[in-house]
Amino acid sequence: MLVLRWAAAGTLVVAICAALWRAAHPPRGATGARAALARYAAHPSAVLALIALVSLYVLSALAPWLATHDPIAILERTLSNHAPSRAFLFGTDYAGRDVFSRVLYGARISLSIALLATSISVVVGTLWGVTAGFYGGRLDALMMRLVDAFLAIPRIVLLIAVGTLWAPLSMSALIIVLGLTAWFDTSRLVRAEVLSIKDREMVVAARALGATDLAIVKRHVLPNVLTPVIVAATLGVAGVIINEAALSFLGIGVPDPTPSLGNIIRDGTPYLASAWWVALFPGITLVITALAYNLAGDGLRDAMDPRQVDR
Amino acid sequence: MTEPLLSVRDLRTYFRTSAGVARAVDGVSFDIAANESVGVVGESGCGKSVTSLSLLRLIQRPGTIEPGSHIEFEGIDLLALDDESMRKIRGNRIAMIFQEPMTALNPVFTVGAQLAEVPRVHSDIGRRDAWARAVEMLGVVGIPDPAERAKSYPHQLSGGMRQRVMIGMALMLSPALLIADEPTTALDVTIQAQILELLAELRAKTAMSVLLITHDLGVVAESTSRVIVMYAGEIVEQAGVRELFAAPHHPYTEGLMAAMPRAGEKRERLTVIPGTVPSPYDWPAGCRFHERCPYAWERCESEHPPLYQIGAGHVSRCHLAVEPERRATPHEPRAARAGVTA
Repeated sequence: MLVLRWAAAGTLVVAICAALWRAAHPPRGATGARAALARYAAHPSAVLALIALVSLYVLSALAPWLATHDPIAILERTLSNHAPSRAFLFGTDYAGRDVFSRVLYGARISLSIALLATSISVVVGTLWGVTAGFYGGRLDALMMRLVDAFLAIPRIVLLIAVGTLWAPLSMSALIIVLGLTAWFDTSRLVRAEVLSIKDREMVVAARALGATDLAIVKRHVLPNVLTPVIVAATLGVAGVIINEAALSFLGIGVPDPTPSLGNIIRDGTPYLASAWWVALFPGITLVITALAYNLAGDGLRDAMDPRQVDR
Repeated sequence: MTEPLLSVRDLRTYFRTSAGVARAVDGVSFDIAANESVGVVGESGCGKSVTSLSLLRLIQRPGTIEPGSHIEFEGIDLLALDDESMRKIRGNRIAMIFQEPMTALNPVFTVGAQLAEVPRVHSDIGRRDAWARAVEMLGVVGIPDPAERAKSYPHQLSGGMRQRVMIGMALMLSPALLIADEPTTALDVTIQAQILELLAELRAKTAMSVLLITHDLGVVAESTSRVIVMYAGEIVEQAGVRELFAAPHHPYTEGLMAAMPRAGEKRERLTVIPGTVPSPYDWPAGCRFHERCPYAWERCESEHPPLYQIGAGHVSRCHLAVEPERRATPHEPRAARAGVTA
């Protein structure tokens, strides 16, 4: 039965990838999103990254359906630190929990947290950058100096401080904290872009025809900052995943016994010499996820650059 | 005479920068009557674009319209309005079009959407009605197959078409005054003529006034009834278009006309006015043109000339008005002697 479910999940991954691949080969002269997708598909590493991401998301979304064991239930004390076998593909941890199932669920938690936190950081960073860049002057100076100040504090130190101050963090608090410490770069990027857009003739022309500030932001500024923001967000997800793992590893992230990639690695660290599998598999998953997001971000940067000519 | 539509008095727009104060527009006064077409001519840097942006209060920091300036439009003191009331006048009563329609249009929206946006920011007209008016307006500005064309993006249109779209956007709300800042400079000569013709046609149809800003005297001759010549932030001459071309008074206007190539004329080199426009941070004392003027004498170096009345509706900022005999003895301007050429 389980084999069939895995086969179904695999088929789904292949189907999504095939659909994307077909969309990436548009008829000649295609414009907009399809042409951008075609430019993306020209990067082998970006394509691999996208396949990895599709697989990760499909598998972790279907985790309850695909897991071989309960990720939290302690199976049997006697099965503590059991080596990988047919029954326990990635082995078991010190408490006798199935690492394979925990990694599936853990990836699900980590990916969800990263996506939600990044959404928060994108919204806050964009609003901050647009406000500073658009209104300029003293407000701009004040807002950007604040960003400089935040950037001067290493992010992980900031996270540990907040995490220990309000420990234990609930899941939603964790998401908000991760999101609110990740928007500084986005706001700088957006501000720079807004500064270059707001003096363009089209903005002066729109003003000359009575456009309101809001209309100018909606029609001229946001569509033009969208591209760099999407790229930054993609790269940002990788950073958030790593930060979440780091927090969980330090024991101030996702609360036990809920698995997250960082949690599982922490559980395995004391036994690295005897039971290497506990930390290794979630570690590999973490590296693949972060790497895939970074590569996909690089691919997107090229694909969405309108100055990029089609080869 | 009835009240003019627009009345500008002693307009001063200064830019206060770390390098000093740039007096880009320095005491400009003029009127525009209803349904009149007025041209403003001058070299780049003479303040003509800053003047037009000042009329709409679109001067950005560090520029400011100095206290004491006065702009009255349809009986309203524009400089006393709050920002929101001023915004409502833009596009609605005074509209403006720009030199380069490619950069003035938003590349990511269809031209129909951009036209439809104009009435939508001024009233609560529905999306559908706004679109219908956009399509109608594209027809008015002479775009063939407007219903289809409305769905095009700016880059899919030619330069002339794009300028028609810009004009259409400006006319969406039937403004009383259209400011056209070099509307044909970026276009081919043949397209230029078409656009000027379109503007004339629309002016006849809608009874609006046009303020046409250009560096091209030919454009002014074709499409305006009155001309304002600007130099170094000031009006140096103002006259009816025929009067100006028949009998230019200010040496700068003379120079501009001499620099205009004419058809059928054989010339080895284009005539130029020697020297360059002085810096707005430091306008010359006396007459601001004296260093480049072939008639300048001592008086011009020390005494800033007022606008002398030359004839009916003809004024000139030149001391030749009171010492006309000086015109008989031209000499090398100082700028040419110094070996400075533009």
